[in-house]
Amino acid sequence: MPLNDLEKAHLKEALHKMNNALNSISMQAELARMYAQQDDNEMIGEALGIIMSQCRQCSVITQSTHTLLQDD
Amino acid sequence: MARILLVDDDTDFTSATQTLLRAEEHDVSTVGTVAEATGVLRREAFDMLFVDLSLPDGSGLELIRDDGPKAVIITGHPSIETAIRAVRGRVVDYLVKPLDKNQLIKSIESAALDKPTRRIPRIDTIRPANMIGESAAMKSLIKSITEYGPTDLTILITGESGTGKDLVAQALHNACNTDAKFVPVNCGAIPRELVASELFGHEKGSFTGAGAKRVGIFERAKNGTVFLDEIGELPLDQQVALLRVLETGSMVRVGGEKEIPMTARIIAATNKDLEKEVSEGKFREDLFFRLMVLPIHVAPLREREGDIPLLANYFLEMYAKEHGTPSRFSPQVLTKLESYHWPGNVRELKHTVLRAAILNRGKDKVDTLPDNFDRPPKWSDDAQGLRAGMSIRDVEKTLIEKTLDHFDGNKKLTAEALGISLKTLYNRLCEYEEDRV
Repeated sequence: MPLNDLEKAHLKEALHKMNNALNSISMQAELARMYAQQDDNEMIGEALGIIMSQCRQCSVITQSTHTLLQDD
Repeated sequence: MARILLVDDDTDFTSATQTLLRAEEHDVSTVGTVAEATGVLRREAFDMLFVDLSLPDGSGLELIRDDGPKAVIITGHPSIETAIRAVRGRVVDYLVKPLDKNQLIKSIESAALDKPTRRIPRIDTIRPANMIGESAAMKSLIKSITEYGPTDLTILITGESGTGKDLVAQALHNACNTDAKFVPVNCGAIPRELVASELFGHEKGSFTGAGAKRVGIFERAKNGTVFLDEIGELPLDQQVALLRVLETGSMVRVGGEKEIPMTARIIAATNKDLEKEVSEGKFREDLFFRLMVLPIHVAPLREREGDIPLLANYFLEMYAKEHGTPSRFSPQVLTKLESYHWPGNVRELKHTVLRAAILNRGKDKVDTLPDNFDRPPKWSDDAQGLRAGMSIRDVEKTLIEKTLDHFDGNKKLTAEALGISLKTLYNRLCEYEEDRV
């Protein structure tokens, strides 16, 4: 079934947010790798914290999109 | 060290990127809007801009100026439109989120090398003399070549066999206004075990038979263009290697350890439906998207309304100069040529015109066509003479014999149609003769 304009706008926004979250995860993973080479455990923990938080953000986005599709 | 301004409203990303690039000894400042960036650019000088296309108060493209710093576009939503708009500025790269450190470093290095990514096309060289046609499809193709040619972006050319994808690749290279090399390679013609060595080179002694160091195609092309024809034939393991080169911008020779920068532009072509190949697991999805940065489709001849007479006359005049054959068609012959659907596209038309020219030698015009010109052999449909379990050598022999038969024993046409050299054809025929003896 084709999506209406509101649903399209929601999906577009969801994709945008998901992309930003994935980008952030990718860069934090790069940082964690750099800190690992420097044996800086504190900073590794900080980068991993941000990765976890971005993963939760991704989860919220997928759940809201799933709800939208179910309602549809 | 480069002085970089990073413009993006995602602070997690800007902060991480700033830390990573500072560790590489680059001086990085960050802002989140077009307005802030405009102010900073007015006050300070930068070597490079990393700019997100989608900013809260406008498009990052507004910040790219001919007299400004070199720019790298970052976007989460790649599209041909944004890529084309982007390459009109001082853009050295076009990156798609999510990013990694290697991509950022490669972009900075490209800018530092002052790689001429934004070259002005020479209009007279964009369209080679043998790229004939005035149809809407042809005009659209020329427009794509004019727009995409002067960029350094990877291009995937798709189209049926015989449509002239190799000419399009050459035209894209010519549009770069560069003296660098155009290095074509047919991925389907390289023996599987030699693909890596051919593409990336090898070190002396890296495998049996590697008696000396060999420079691969990517290195040989330097700042030019590598044309990977029949990319769909690349073995899966080498698809991984190619993907790595595209992602990191560097390669390692077979048996070597040193990373060698890859500075050539890649144009790939295929007559296969790569999306289908991806869904069947025969082609890597990640490589497909890497190659699809700018896609160009070459229309089949049957969709190029009005081009058949132009092409037929062009080929006929060419043969007339070379062989003294007639230089014009009778109107009836041209009508017949126009009404045929040309499944083998321009290549088939070219061969038909040559056969017609020879058939009408001594006349003032071509008024008859070869009897079977519109009934090409249906080898692919009913696979005459082919059966499961045949050796590749036997299949090749059958194909060569059938093609030779189709062209009435003309070896030059047969070699052209099969895409092999005349020398290879003679060698094969000698081998078959020896087998018979």
